Amino acid sequence: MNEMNETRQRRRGRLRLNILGPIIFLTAVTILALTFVLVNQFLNLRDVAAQSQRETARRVATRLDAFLEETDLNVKATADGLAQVSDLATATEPSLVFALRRLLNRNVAVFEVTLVTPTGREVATLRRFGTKQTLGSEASQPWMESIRQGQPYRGPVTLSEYQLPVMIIAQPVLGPEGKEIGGLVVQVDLTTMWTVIADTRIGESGYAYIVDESGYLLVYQRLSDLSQRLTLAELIGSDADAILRGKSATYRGVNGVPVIGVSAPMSYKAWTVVAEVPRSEVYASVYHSSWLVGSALMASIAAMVLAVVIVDRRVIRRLGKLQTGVEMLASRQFGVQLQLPGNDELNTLAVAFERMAGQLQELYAELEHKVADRTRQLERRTVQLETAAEVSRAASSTLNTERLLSQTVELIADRFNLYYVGLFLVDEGGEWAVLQAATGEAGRQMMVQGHRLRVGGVSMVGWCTANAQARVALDVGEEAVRFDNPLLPDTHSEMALPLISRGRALGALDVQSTKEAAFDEADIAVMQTMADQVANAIENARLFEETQRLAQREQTISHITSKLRSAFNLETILQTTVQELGQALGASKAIVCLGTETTLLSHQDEAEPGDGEVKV
Amino acid sequence: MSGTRRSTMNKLDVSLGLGLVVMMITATWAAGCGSTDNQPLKIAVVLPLQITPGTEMLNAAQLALEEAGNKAGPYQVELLALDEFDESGSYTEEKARANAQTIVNDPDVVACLGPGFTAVAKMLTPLLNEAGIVMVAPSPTWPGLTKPGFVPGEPGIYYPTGRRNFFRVIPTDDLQGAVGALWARELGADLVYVVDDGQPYGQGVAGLFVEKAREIGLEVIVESADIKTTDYNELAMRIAQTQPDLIYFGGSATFGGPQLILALRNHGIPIPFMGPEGMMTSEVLDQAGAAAEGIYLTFGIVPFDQMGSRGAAFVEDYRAKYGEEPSAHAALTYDAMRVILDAISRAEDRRDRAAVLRAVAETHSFPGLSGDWGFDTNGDITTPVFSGYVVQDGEFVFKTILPTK
Repeated sequence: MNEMNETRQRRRGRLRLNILGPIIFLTAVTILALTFVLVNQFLNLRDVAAQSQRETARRVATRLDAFLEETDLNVKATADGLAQVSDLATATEPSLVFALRRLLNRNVAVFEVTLVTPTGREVATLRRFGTKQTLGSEASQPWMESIRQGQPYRGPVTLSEYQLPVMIIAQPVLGPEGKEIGGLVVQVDLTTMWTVIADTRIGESGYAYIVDESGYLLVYQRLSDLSQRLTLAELIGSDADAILRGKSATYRGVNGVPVIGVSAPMSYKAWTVVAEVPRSEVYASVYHSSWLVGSALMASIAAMVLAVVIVDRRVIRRLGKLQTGVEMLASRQFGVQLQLPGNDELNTLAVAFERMAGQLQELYAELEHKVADRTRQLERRTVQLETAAEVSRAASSTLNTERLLSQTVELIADRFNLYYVGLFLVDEGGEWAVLQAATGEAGRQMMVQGHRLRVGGVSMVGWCTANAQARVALDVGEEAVRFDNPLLPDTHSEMALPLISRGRALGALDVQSTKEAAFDEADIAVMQTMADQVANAIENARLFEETQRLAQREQTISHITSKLRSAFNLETILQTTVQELGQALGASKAIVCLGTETTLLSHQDEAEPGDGEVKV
Repeated sequence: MSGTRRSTMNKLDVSLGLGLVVMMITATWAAGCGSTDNQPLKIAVVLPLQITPGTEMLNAAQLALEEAGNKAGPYQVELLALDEFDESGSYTEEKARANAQTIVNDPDVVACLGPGFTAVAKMLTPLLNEAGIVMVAPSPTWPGLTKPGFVPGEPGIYYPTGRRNFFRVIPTDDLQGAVGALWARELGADLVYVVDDGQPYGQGVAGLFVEKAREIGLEVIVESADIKTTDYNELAMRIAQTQPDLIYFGGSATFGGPQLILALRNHGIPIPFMGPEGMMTSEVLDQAGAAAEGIYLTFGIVPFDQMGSRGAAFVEDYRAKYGEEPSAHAALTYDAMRVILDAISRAEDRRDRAAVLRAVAETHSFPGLSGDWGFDTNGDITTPVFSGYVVQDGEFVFKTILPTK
């Protein structure tokens, strides 16, 4: 039983796999395809964003380089303009002021310009706004060494006394003979760099910043970053090195959110412009589409699950029920009640199946009934045939009529489970059918009583022997020609079969059953066969007896004849004749009378001998 | 049992299906939410609303907005009026901070018009700079708000991000000092006696006058006065002894200007007297009276009748709407509002404060009432125009347009 259940489960599993497998497979393929598309989109967007950022960073770097280099060029041009002055210390102030003011007018980023001698003494100072109160010595300032060496100077970016980002640029002033006669020290307002960085927008929320040659954050969101001296490595970690080498990377940016960063070097100084765009923005379109795709995926999965559940519940489980029903039907459990939910084809199928199962149940019951009937009939036929065979054997194996009849009735009664079996033989006069053998107590009593029925009388045996035809009463109550035997009160069916030999009825086989309609044509035929065999046997036995009797008579005649031949007188002849005949015939008295017919008749009483007397 | 079980199964199927539908609908709804595109933009107007110039300035701002159809380009715009004075009528850091919070916390505010006073600008500018909100001020004149070279720390302390967000449509005091020096030379002065009032404004203006005067070859004598301690009669006598061609007072009417005029005229010293915009108030006329006759004053805006058709139209419109003559500060505020509206209409993203800031900074050749101008890198107008006034018959009378270079 468990094995059958397992097989059923396995089959149902295969069915589930066959139906749901394609759904799951297609959904999985869809999910994989969408995932692949999404990943590709992510990669493409990252590349596009990095390219765009790099271009922006380069543009910013170029713009700032141009701003700084232009300032440098202006300062150098001013220094070159002063080359005609042979001695700064003796030059007139208005001419120097004119040169310095022209520098201020040329370049708005130049806040203050100072002309110094090689010893560091300030010759003239001009600033864009306000007044520098005192002139003094700049001999100890770091740019003086460059001026003395005839080299330009580009200082670090610092916050000025006005809290503005400034850088000192110094340019040596060469005299007519190419000798350093002084230097031009220029304070450049770098606010423009912060403005450019602040105005740099990459996408919606991308930004840029500048890192100096030592890796310190130079220009970002606040001027105070300058004084905090934060290195890029401190801000973004180990990716700083890759970024500063120009590679793109994904990391947590300076503002703490995950970004994609790239950089572009500046040419004016070894500064680097870094452009960062939050990953959320770069991937926003993908996030949006991934949201849609994710929703689609979720919907697909949900739809798949729903489809699986619905198909499983509405189809597979119901098919499983149908399968169970079929298997129950196969195991002859016809009372299948599937009770499938719904009102669809499967439901219709189930109803039809239930109806078919009911019809099969009826058909099967009918068949079983028929088979049982057939079996019973066959068994009965078998018994009949066996009985017939036995009767046949008995008939062929004995010449004892009495024993044959007795065996026959017992066999038939026993094998056919009959109430009563009797066998009648018609007497020599053909007037009575005399019971010769019978079964049961009733039969014994009838035998004792010398039960006989008149041939042609109102009895089935009488009718049968008279007409040499079988007479069957399936309901004895309705049989007109029947002797109602009080010894056989339970008889409901009776059949009288003639024992026919050489065209005449020797007697009849009478069988009775307590069941109504207990005999069919086959019964009648079989029993008629047995009756015929019995009749033949009886006939044979009679012939045998007749033959033996004739043989005995011939022998007696021969014996008497031989005795008579040996007698020599009439008396002896007569005496021998009377004695031998009486002995042969078994007579107690034997008389031989000589005379005419009349004489003999008149002296009949006188001639009557006594017992054991032979009178001649 | 079976029927119950079937019913439950069907309900489960329906629930699953409904759940799916609800999920999709919710997601779609969520995706469509959050749009603020139809919200009107706001321009915060921070002015001294408790005094007359402030209300006039607000009127001018509203007039400019109405003339633009309450729009900046195609975008609807509203004003958010905030008083830069507290309930006691003073400007305080707390009030400036509260105003800044109001502005910063309102995502619809994309720009600020104001403030009116330099002191308020000093407090408000760094707060709005942190938020990247552009300011266009009509009247603060202190140069240190935008220019280095005056007070240490200025102007960097006002811009912690390094990005300038403060712009103004009125010329700065340093230019007024320079304009005064140029006018003094034009008037024929060679020696100028410069007196400041000891206040930051006065010292600043006086210092810039001195610098320019020296630059153009004038001789200057410089002295600082204090209204609490100075004997203006003695000062007048000292000035007279040096026989200057002109006396320049760097200060305001509140800090000794009228007293010095009275002292000079009371001692019969007829030396020409010149002062900056801070002296161009009714206090001078009231306190100095007839002594003020003939004094020269510089002012950072040209009179309406010198503005051409733009000025005339403004005066006409203002008069028609409010039934009174507009003030010079109202005209400046009118220009400030128009600049902001123009910038919003040009901004890449009207709701992006940074974009509006960039657009304001990029303003150039703007058709202002006094001429076409833009903003320089510091946030000041590129072509400032000054007027020279003379007191005649107890009134300030326009005399001339003054060059700045």
